[in-house]
Amino acid sequence: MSPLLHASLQPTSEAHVRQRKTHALSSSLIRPAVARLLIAAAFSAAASVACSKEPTRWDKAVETAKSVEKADLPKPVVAEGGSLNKFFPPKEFDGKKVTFTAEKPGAVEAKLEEGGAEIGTLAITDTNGNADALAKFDKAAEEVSGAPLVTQGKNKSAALVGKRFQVSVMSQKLDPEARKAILGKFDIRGLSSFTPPVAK
Amino acid sequence: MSDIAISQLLEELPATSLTTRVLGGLDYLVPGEWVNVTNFEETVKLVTGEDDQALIQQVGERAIALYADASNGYQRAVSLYKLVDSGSTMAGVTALAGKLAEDVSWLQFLGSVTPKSETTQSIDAALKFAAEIGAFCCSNGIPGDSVGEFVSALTAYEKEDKVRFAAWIALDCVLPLGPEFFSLLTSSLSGAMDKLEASPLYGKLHGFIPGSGAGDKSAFLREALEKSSAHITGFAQEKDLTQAGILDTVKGYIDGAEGKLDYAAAILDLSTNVFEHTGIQSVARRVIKRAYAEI
Repeated sequence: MSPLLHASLQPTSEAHVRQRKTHALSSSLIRPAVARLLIAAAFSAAASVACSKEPTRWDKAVETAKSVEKADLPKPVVAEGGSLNKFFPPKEFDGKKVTFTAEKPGAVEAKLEEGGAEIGTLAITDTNGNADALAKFDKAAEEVSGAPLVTQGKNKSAALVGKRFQVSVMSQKLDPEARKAILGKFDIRGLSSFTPPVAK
Repeated sequence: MSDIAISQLLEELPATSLTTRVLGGLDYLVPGEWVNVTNFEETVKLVTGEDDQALIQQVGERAIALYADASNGYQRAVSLYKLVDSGSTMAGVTALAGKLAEDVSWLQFLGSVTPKSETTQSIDAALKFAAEIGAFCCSNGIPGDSVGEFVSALTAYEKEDKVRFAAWIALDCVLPLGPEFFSLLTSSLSGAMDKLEASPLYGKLHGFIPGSGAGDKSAFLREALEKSSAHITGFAQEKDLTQAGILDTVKGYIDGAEGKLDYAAAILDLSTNVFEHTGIQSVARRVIKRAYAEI
């Protein structure tokens, strides 16, 4: 048996992959003999596909997201991501290393490592257009460098800076005190008076 | 927006497939980094470490909304990962057609029209590198303030990202190209850039590579590859990656290709969707992480 034909006789999920690729093969190389062989094998495996969809806890959120996108509402004005980089802790401090991993309009993230292993995620996000995120700080009982500080769940500590920027430390390895200490390494004073350029 | 939510995309991934078995077989390269989680709630729990149901719901809903907003780029990242596995790169197809022509007399006419497999495979590997960069930029933006910092983010890959990168090095670079894979890759991004630019996949992804024109973009790719060279070649050396070793690992999944390197690489390319499978998992993790920071 040809190795390719043999490889085609796999469960359904592979049949999908191969079906797409064999279509590419047939349309680009136009080699009828090879293509027919592949397509026949792929279709026979695909024939057993049965789709069933059970309700999930996310269905409502999916529908809401679809209608929000359909409504095409104006997006909130948020800070240019890169303008927030300078308020993060230094690239190296107290034996820890900070590596930027994501930069989107109004949201920047960095990985926090110690001894070569990830110990958490640092983030600055713009709360413009995100009233729920702001509301939780009304109940803040603590502060860091003058900014209200809250703990969310087990693994996140966040400060609200300049009544706009949420500065977070998320970690499954650090306790709230350690997370608070790292929040103190951000340039909270600088960020509190920062007027950011607007993201395009 | 895309009609399919990130929660659905993730949950439609197979729990077991040839792809997951091959990735499982590569676990020794990145021990414990990748677990095939295809349940959205489970992914939220894993990423956040939270068990409060209300918080999990809040994170999941925000992640779904972030993905649904096409302007955030996450949908584009998924479409690029899908394109890589859709046959757009074609190395598997052309290499296999070429190999069939060598071995089967009645197919010899194919041999005269298909490119030499090494050239095709190195262009394919370079194209997949470009697609990874394009998808990374769509889902993560361009973090840091320099190409060096951008590459730091790339080499700081973990979990699904890390296994996808390891699979690319093993299955798309070392297996078909051998120990000189890195120089072949570099040549593809310099001498054969015109062939990359002619591919439908590059046509769809080049807009997401940093740089204002074709020259800038190819220069960015070359610089990113060059700055990742220690990471990539170091990984291959540290893990003692050889064609024979990888073939030994994967031969159980591709009966009929024993001892035939070109067959093995081509069949794997045709039969698996490593980029799509792990790419959807990467994007799910990415939006969940951002949602957790934003709520």
